[in-house]
Amino acid sequence: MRTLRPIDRFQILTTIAYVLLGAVILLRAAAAQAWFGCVFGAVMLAFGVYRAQAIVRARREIGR
Amino acid sequence: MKEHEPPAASGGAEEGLRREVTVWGSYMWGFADVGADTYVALGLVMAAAAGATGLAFGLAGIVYIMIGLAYTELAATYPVAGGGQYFTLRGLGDFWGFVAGSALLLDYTIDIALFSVACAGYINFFLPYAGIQSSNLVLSLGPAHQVEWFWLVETLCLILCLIWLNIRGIRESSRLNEIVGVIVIATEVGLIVFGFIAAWHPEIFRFQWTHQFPSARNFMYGTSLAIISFVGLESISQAAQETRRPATIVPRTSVALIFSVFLFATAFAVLGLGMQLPAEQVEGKWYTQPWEILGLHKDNPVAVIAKAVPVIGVIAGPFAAALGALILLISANSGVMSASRLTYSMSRFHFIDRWFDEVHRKYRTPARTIVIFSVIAMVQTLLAFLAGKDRALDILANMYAFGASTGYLLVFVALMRLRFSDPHSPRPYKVPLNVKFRRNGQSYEFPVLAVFGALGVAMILFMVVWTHEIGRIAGPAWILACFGYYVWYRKRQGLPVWRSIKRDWEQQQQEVLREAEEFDLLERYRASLQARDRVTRLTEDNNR
Repeated sequence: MRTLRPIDRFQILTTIAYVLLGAVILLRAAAAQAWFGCVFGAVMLAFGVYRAQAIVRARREIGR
Repeated sequence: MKEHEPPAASGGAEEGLRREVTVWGSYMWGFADVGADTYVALGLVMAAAAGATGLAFGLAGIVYIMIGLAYTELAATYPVAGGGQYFTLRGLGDFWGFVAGSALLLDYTIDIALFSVACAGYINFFLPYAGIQSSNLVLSLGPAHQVEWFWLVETLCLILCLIWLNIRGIRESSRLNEIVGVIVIATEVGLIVFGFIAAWHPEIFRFQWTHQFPSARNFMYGTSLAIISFVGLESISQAAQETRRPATIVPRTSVALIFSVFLFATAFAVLGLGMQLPAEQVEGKWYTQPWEILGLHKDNPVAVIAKAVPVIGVIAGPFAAALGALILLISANSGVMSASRLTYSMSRFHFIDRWFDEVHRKYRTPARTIVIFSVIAMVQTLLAFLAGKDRALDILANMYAFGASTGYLLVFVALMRLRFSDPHSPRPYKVPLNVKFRRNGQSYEFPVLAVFGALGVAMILFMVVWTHEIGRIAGPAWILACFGYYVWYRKRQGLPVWRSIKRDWEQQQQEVLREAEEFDLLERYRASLQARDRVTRLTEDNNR
């Protein structure tokens, strides 16, 4: 498998940030019953998961 | 629209601009333009949409995502410098192509002016550290009162710097985009993460929503201003002309760009509304709500948010202000580059004189367009500042929203039309939600998303016309002035004003794909054309 370039590392880091932050916002907003915050947190979390899937798929293709 | 024989065949993929933007450069070119918009829009939208700022950004963002996907499809299919103007020309003909071009040209000149003004605003964040209040640096000039002369002079100096930088050449400016872009993204991510973890109070956020909701008109005004957070997708389609293998690269970079910018913009709005910001007193009145305080700081709202983050705020505030100033300068720079590319494209298609098309003898850059449209931006800046204190950003944002929504509406219509008028061009990326059907032996896919997108942009345009006092007059006035020039130029050239010039789009598409090194797509395109010709011949033989 190809070694990670700085740009790949940067993408992985931002993806992790999206997932973790999305979850934090979602939970905190839900606790305070701030529904728009929940929606925003869920969108951020979903985007993070989508990006993570795309990165994993790309890495697998490179590996093949 | 009937077509007219041209006096000289034009519109081919002519040489003139150099192809030297990398994948990352393409992304950062777009990010520098779109990503910086939040730095300007946040304060303006907060002042209008109050506790519903997050929703305003969310709604404008949904429309923006649809615009972005439409641009992704079109830029990957037609990787040429004209962007929206070219797509509209291909789909709807010369007249509408010109209207889209002039609306986008308005946006680029405003882009230069607005982002230079905002850049100077972030620089002014540092003035209080030197004991200077920029709000006190005002004077009266004849009928114009409370002109913020210091801010005006700063802005004009910045635009002059951009003229110099761009005449020297794109290589320097693209590299600058890339380096600063990485730093800005890292900082924004850091700021948002720290902000949400350490400084965001969902209770305050909920209070804003329930007790500080704006009037319907203010909310509409705020939403229409929020769209300016997402303007700049043109630049990625324009960069497509200078990107190797654009059909592969453009969908990847622009989809990432669209969603990351949407999340950044909405995140700052949600974060800002849920923070405890220090109350401020202005002219005897106390401002305590986060949206009020950020609305007061229209010139540097992101720096105010950064400063309010516990522990790191002391450093993060000035750092965010410095970075904001830098990325806004890059965004203004993108405006200069985009204006010159658009005029280059418009001159090739006989919308404006080829005089604009000339490149500098030494630097090989379109020096004339750089100077002309930057000077127009300087005039716009001057007029906006003459309107009085705290008005410059609002006025420029008004016009920006008008130009963007007009251009984008035409792009959506062009996207729908092109699916029928040009079904043979290979589309490496298609917007989601397509309805397949066959007609006369040819299969088509109707883009349902484009209908939603067009309705969304039409709604934004309606809000702009209804709520923007300056935009609804200055925007159409600009397009009419450009149209006056267009009529004069086309008549002088013996070209039709309302009808289109006849062009060999199929030949041109092949040239574009060859030049873009998209040889697979070129083969697919040729095969599709040959299949169509075979079917046509068979039908003709059967009819005989």
